Amino acid sequence: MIKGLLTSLFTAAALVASPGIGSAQAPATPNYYPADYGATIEASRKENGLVIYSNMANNNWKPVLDGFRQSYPWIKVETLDLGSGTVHSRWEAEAGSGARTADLLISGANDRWAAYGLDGRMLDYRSPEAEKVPAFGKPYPGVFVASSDPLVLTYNTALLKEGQRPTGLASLAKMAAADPGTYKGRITTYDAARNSFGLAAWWQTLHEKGDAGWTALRAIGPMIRGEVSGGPMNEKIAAGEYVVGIAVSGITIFPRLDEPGGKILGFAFPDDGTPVMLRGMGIPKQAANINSAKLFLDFLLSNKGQTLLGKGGLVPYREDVAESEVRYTYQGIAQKVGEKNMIVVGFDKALIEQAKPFVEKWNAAMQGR
Amino acid sequence: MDAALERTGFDRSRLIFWSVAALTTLLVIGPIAPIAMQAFLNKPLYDPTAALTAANFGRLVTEAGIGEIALNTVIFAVLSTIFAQVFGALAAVVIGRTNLPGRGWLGEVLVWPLFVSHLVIAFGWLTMYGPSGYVTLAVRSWTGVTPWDLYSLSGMGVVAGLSQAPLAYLMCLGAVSKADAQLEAAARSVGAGPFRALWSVTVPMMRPALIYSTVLNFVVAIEMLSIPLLFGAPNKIETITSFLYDKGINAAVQPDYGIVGAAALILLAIVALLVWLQGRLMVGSNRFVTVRGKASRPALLDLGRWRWIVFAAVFAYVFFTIVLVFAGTLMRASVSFLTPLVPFWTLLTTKNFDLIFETPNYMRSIGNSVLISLIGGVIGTVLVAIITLVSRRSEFKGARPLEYIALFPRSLPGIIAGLGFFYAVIWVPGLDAIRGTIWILILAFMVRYIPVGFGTIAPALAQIGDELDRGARISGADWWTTVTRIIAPLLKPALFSTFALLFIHFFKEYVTAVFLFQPGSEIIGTTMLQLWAQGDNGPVSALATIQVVITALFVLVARRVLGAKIYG
Repeated sequence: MIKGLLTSLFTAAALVASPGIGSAQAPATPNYYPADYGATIEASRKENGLVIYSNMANNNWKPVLDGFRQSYPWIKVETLDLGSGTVHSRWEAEAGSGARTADLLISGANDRWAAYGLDGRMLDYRSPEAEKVPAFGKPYPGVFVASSDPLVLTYNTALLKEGQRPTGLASLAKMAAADPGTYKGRITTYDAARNSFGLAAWWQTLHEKGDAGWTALRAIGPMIRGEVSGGPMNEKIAAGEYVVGIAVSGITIFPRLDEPGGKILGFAFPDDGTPVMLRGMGIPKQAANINSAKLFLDFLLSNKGQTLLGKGGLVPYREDVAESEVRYTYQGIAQKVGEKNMIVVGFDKALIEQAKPFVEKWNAAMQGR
Repeated sequence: MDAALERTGFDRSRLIFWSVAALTTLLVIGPIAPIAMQAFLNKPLYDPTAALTAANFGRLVTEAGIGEIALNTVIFAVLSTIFAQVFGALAAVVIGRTNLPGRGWLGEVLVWPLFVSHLVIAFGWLTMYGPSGYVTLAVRSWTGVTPWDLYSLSGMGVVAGLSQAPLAYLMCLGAVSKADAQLEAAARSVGAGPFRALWSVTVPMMRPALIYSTVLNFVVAIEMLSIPLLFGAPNKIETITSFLYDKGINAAVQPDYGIVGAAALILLAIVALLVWLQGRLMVGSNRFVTVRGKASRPALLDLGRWRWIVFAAVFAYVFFTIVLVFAGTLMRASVSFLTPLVPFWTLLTTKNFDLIFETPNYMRSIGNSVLISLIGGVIGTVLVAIITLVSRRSEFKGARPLEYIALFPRSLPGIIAGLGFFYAVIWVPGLDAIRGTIWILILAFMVRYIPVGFGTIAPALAQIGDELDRGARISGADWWTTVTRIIAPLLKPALFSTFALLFIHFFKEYVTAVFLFQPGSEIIGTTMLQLWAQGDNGPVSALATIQVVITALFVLVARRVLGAKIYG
């Protein structure tokens, strides 16, 4: 054990210390890329790698980073995984002061993306891949969508037998009201008051569902214990601390289903509306390694990049990604739950204006009011 | 007397005095000045249009829920202090003064929690005693009721208190083991039973140690982040530190720097006041001097037929609150899910450790932690040694002020130090160069633990008679030659102990780093927090286990090879 640890320590030290791999041939670019794309590639060689702030875990990133390294081996990519809001708070503080900071931001804090879209803080980059992605993939100049990830209903399969499992928000509200003993304090979801991701998801959901949605939420509000991240929800649902989670990020649960004992977790696309989070990304105007950032953004939007994102557990939204290569695609989910039944959580600017009153209403609903 | 000497042109000692004083002042003011500034600005510090205002305090006071946050903080701190003091003092009395069987190894295990961060301990408790912990669910299945709830102020108080009990234990142990056994014997001779003798004679003698550690533990509780974060969040119990953490960096909407600055400044003021109070309370502690010229051999109190009953109680305490908590971390690291609903052997996996070993970022955080502790330990020891020598063993006119400044970081909560340095590096031009490197962390940690080093070196220094200095000075050596050639070699054991202590503190520190780390300067604690935020408790526990193993190896080596004294 100790020996293994030491070996790994040295390996890691060697990995960190190893100098950048020497320059390689520039990859062939598709024919629809502009003629001067080679200049961007060349310029990236002189830059200092790439720093990405995102709300994605290392296992989500791994296939993408491996793929990107094959194409651009001289660009050393560093990712920092933060909460959605933190991605922005950190970047804003650092960028505001002119300090070194991220070259690319990716997060589910859709209110921030709307704000950036309106005040133009992101570089208005015309990605050559932009014409290949659906229109909803480029909501504002400089703001792009990286992936479209569903929020699902998750439950503990040992505690809720077949037939006792809720199928959506309305069905959960009904079941919980009928059996408060099972559900009291054991329902979880994102706390919209404490988390940008949850704020965007619930704002959109309740915006579309209207009063019926609020009524259902008020019914289960006092039974809810909020979390700020999907991982702990699954962890605690598996343990039996919670029996059910509503609007849980799918990317946090899908990989866990294959682990030993993964059968303890079950999930469903809610039958009365499945929220699909559009994950925003953009290159800050003052980014230090702007060419590397452009290459990476184009790669993420490309067919290959989207497929690799899918392999990392995220949900690609480009129409030409093969369903068989990944767990889900946007189009696949649309087929499964019905296009009408998707609550696409975009970048509405009302998110910014109505955040405060919404949070107040949310907090009241959590107390059943 | 040295006036003539001082006037004779260049004197390198004076240069050293002034540079050490300047450096120390700069280091201590470094994180505080930006926070004080921010508290009175209407916009972020770095915003050139920011203007002076006092409105932040008004907004803070009227902020919804701020009263509750203050109340929570106080209740949490009071509860955990009570638990820490009661259990720590009891343990010190029975282990230090009685013939308890197994007192040697029980005392050894009792201080384990001091070696690792509260983050590691909190995870262990969560695994065993959390709402879905192994012990909780076992008790629930036997009795049908859930006997406790860690996600409450009292639950948080118990966990925080018990993880700080070793500190009270060590300080009280120091007091009682020096105590004169004749005093207890006197009580026994007039008919007092063993417990009466302990209660009426030994316990009062611990009073200075109790007061000192009470304030210390109260301060530790106020500035504790991990337990409010892990146990408070699910039920929305916020304390001042989790408020600062959430509002300062994790804000759902825009971070409100003005309010964060104001809250941080108030917290700083309160802690400074408490530390000052502690100093006042200690005045007059010489009433309790019991070690006099006429010493007798310390004798242990015979517990008689109570021996094994007390042993059972102490053993249960050690087993349930320390051994099981550490075991919980290892158990969680070895399974895919923590659930009582499936037999755990079907869940066994090495995946958690594999993930750590295969991910360069995670391995780098381990490497960084080790590097920071080694480099920081060495530099910190040298710096603190020089500070101590200048302030206690030199003719430097600013010696007293220097000591006050050097000890001020006792009043500097980790989260404030981190926030302050974060502001400082983005605010002061040029400092950006060390951001994203481990040097900013080394610097911040060093500032925080100057008092710890001072507290180790100063007593050892006091034992070295100043006739040695004078002898050297009369023979023509200047101050620097005297301290490096005469004093430093004599201080060697204390310096090794300081290094070991700083290493341990640096290795377990994480609160100061939460605002400061960047890709490339991750440490174990920040990686654990990140993984925890994603809910990957398996890898978190694997990292915690690795941290415990490295710490244990270090303590072993430090004690054997360096002969360092770490916690008794």
